Amino acid sequence: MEPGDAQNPLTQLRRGVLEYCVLALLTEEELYGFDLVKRLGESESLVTSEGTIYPLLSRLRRVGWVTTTWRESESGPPRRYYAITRAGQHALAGFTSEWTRFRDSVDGLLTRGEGHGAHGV
Amino acid sequence: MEHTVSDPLVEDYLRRLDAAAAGLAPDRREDLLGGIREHIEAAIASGEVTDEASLRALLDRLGEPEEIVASAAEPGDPVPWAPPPAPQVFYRRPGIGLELAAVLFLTIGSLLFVVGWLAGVVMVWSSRRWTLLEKLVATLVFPGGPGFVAFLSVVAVGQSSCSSTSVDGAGGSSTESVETCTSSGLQLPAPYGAILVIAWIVLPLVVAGVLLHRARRRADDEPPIPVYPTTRSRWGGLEIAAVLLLGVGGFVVPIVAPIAGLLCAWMSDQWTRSEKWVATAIASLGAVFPLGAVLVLIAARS
Repeated sequence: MEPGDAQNPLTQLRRGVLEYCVLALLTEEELYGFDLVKRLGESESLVTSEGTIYPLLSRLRRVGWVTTTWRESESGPPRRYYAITRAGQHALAGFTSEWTRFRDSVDGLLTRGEGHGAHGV
Repeated sequence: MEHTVSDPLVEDYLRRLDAAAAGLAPDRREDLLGGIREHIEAAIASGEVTDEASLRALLDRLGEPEEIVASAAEPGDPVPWAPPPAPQVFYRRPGIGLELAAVLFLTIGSLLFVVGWLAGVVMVWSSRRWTLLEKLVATLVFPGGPGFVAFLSVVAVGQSSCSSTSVDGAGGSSTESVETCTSSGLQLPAPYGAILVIAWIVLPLVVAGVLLHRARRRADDEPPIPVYPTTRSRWGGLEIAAVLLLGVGGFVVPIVAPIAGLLCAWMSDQWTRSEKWVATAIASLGAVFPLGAVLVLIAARS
């Protein structure tokens, strides 16, 4: 863990947003844990500790937003594949519209702040 | 080299994770461990782990086990178990109560004649903070103690003033030996007696000062003593009884009350050994002084 993590406001934000990113990834295809983590890792600054994805997946499964199925793999032991459920899709849709408004508001304010900063200099 | 989940690095990581997850519900703990194990297996199967460095990098990216478990906590979860904060330990420098008591007994305590002085000698020799030479000096410089000599000189002055005419020619040449002076104290001429008394009081005090100073210095070289804060109050019934018995008990029931007070003091676990020794010295002297005063009065009147 990075020293400043607890103070970083993005840590809390990331934690709340990440499960919807997982849901979004699963709308395209079923994935197993390792693959899912790799996909999330491709987006910069989304995941700091890959291990924290697993408690998150566990939580999504308990609230019924994803299901898991075991499948044989060509290399190694069987893998647990995650699939989004109908309830998960509802949750994701709700979040997406909320998030868009939220993001626009934050962006709007932050850009205005930037503008003032530029004037001041 | 082929890496598997049975690699010591991986095993150690999973063990730490298991320990950190001890506070989670069993099914969630199982789930979490299974997921992480599977992740590592998949990473190894994918061929991205080729050597120890890449294995370490994989575990690094997973994050600290404690961090992963912390992220698994949800509102309503029992507070994750954490070791209770270690009690704050204070350190105090070692006390020199025994040495202080020894010197008190050898000087003021010698008013109790042989007993007080003997107690001082026993304390001197049981101390670890004086060398053999210092112990010898302490024992020999206070033979009988200055109080003993002071007492004798009071008696001598009292006696000589009574029989002033017969004293003149007797003891002019016999001043070099201490033993003869004290044993023949009745005949001691006044100027020699005064010098002797001063020497016998000043010298022990100087020695006492030096010995205490050295004991203090050596005690400071010893490791500090940890003091764990006690939850109990420092003043229990036992301690109050000890202070009362030691402080004023002697006036009510001489000898017995101070001894009872000392027993209480030594039974208490709220005082350090040093403090107990000082209490012992003060209590003994407190018990002895009235006795000594009475004896001096009796001797002066007879």
